Amino acid sequence: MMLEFPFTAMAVVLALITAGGLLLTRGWRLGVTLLALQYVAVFVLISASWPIEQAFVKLITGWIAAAVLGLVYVSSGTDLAGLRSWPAGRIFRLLVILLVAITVWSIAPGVSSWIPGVELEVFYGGLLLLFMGILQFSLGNEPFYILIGLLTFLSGFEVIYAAVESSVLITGLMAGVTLILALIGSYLLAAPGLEQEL
Amino acid sequence: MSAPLIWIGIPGVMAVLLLLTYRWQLIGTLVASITATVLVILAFVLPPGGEYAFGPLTVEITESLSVLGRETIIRTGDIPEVVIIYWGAALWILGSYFARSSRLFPSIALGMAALQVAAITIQPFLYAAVFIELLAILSVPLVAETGKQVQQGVLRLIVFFTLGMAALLFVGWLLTTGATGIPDSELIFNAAIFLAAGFIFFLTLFPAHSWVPQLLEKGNPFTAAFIVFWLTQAALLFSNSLLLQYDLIGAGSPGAQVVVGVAVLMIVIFGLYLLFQNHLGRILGFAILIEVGFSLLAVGLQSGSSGPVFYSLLFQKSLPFMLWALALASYHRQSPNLELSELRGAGWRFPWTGGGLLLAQLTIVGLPLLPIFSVKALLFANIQFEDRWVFLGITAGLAGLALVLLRTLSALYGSTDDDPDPAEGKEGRGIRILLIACILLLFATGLLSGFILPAFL
Repeated sequence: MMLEFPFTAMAVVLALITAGGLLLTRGWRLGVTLLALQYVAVFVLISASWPIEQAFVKLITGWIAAAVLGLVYVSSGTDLAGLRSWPAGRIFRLLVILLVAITVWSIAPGVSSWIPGVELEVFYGGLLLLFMGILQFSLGNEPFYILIGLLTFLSGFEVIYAAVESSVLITGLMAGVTLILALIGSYLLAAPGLEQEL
Repeated sequence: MSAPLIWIGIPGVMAVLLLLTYRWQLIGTLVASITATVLVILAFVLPPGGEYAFGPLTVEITESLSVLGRETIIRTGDIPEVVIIYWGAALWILGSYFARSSRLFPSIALGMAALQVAAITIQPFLYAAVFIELLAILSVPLVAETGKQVQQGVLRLIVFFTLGMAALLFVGWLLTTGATGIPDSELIFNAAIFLAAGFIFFLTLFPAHSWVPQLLEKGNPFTAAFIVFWLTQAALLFSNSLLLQYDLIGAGSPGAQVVVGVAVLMIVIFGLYLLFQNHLGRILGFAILIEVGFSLLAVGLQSGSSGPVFYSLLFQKSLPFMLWALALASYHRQSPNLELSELRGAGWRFPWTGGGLLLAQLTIVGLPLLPIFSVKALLFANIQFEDRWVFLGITAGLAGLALVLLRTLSALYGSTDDDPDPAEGKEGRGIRILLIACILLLFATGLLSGFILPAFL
């Protein structure tokens, strides 16, 4: 069974809200929550191309990745620094999000012509996450947000790639990349607080 | 018994088991290094696709192994690459103990070697991009030191390789299945754009090279150099196979000319960068990138077949770069600041380290009687006389390397007004023995280089 419109349209809206929220907000709790919700959107969009059972792997992998990143801050008790410039920083990011959304709106129909037979919403959602991820790790000044940006970018790429490749091996490999990225990311986040190795 | 099981499965399992020897670094180093060496020997003695008798037992080593519906195939033609990978792994793992690298080094390095073999043997071939991304991510714990802030170079490394992986996976789809909805000319154009993007990030072409000097400026130079060397080597092997598989670099083809042009640009740009560097770690990083340019040049000039010059170059540069990195690690133990101005007179205080460093630099420059000279001479002989810009570019790159060598010589053996500090450390016995062994091995491979090249034919 594959999901279609209007589920995919709702998923695009959810992807926009979560990816935009990750760019605008601060704090690891909200960040992890938005990331987890983002993977729900990814699951729905991938379900348009894959069977639900196979798409479920993406959802579980994403939630594990979000949990792993969140556990670092739960165990350390620390939090992230706020935005350096406020409200100018938020206004700038809001405008950039708007620009990305307009760009995606205009180029998605052209990209969808490369892969006929796939819903347009898949390209809206995939490209949105792709560009938002690039924005996130370009503008991020802390490792947590750079990692979130990478995971968002990978999610967007996987949404589009799922439309052209349904191999079990590539599903496993990409899930492995997401999990290992989250694990290594958690090590990077925890390393400064650990005792220096002799 | 299948070849992927021997050269991927067994070292992969060993790498995981070696995590248990975290507290006994010497044991882990020896086991990992010996494992890699044995795999090199097995590659010569038991090539895949044959039947071998061991007393009453007959063992057939098949070429392929099926994993989740896809195949991993190690053919006899892949043996040079397997040898290059495990020979390099054995050298770097052995050096890591004396360079005081991370305790995870033997385990992660052996695992990275197994992943790299998997990358070059997986079918469809373009899935290798995912394995190379895994290589990049797995290398992070080696340079992310506990108790210190995360380096920007580490984060850039992950970002660039993730971008490269996405671009190359998409190229794979464009070149194989094809996009039925777009005309061929647009398909080729789009594939070329994504291919270029993927290569820029994976091969650390300008301007995606910024993580290299950042990584080598801080932390343990041996570990950082290993990561730069290993990831660029993996990218080179992947690029070579990709260009050959899709017949993009036939003799005189536009693809071959583009590759040669990019290689020369790399050599020139990074040669110019070298002139303005004062930090020995950054100098090493740019030297590795210049050699990536020379390897790409070998790819472009090999006229559509698997080039022995390319493989021989990769094989022979493992030792000099390892020796260079080991020497820097030895200096780093005495003085964390590797600026040339801070190491004035260090060559007199630490003679074997200074000698090893200079010998490694001389090897990379291409001094006769040392490894790499004969391979580069053969490489340059393939360049047509009419390609003046290629000759000029190569000359500029080599001039950069030679000038850096002179500056290093001047810094290490320059006179200093200060008396030697009695509290200053001496070269450790272990590192001194390894440096001497590497120097002797360097001369030996230089003298025997006439036998090494034919081995890759």
